Amino acid sequence: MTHAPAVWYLMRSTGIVALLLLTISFGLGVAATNRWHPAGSRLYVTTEIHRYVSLLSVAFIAVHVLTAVVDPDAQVRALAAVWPFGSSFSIGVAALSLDLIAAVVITSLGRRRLPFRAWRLIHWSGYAAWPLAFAHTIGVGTDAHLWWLELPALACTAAMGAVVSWRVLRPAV
Amino acid sequence: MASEQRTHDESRIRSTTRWLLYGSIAATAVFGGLAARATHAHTSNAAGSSNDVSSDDSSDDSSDDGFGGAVPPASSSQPPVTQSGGS
Repeated sequence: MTHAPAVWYLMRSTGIVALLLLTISFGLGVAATNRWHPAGSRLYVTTEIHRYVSLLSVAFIAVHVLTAVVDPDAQVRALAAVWPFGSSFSIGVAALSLDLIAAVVITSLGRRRLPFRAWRLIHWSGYAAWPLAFAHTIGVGTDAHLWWLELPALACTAAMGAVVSWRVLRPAV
Repeated sequence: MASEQRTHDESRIRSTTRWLLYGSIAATAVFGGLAARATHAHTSNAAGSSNDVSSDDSSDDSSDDGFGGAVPPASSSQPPVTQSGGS
């Protein structure tokens, strides 16, 4: 038996949920850029929910990373979680994704102190975090070939495809 | 009028964020359960095949239930994921 099965299961499940939340966050970000809002509400609703989902995904990513570091079976060192070089490809892309997300979150929290162009450049770089996180999900995976991971992964890919198409075909006003 | 709109928007934000939080926690529990089941199915299959090597298990479809196949955290000497996290 593993050292701590609960930690092992929590690491796997929070990873999938974090990818789902990240996808929703990206979708809402693009929706806000395209000035979409629910009927009867203002744009403020979209941006607030985008902000909330982003922070929620960061919380799940934090639990995922923490459990990966704590779980002796996962064999992920704390440095490897943030430093993309020197470990396997799957862990490296996850670390890079984490770094990009951290940069987006930190610059968003201090947005008022940053020039708009700098903030936007860093925010756009966040787009790269999703494919990296996806590559990690599929590449590292203990569960990559199981339907209950393939299904959300497929849904996330379709959603991201639609969102990116929406962003490209309908540039922001 | 403006304050009514604001109240409506904030109520919408509150209810959406609440459902997202509950949904995320529920999804974590569901995926955790599926991960546990996958691990259990794999270890059961591994134990079954090692204990009963000579038996005819062609009717046993438990390995094809969509849950099996996860590399199990069976022992500390065989990590569940084949990755090197160290640098």
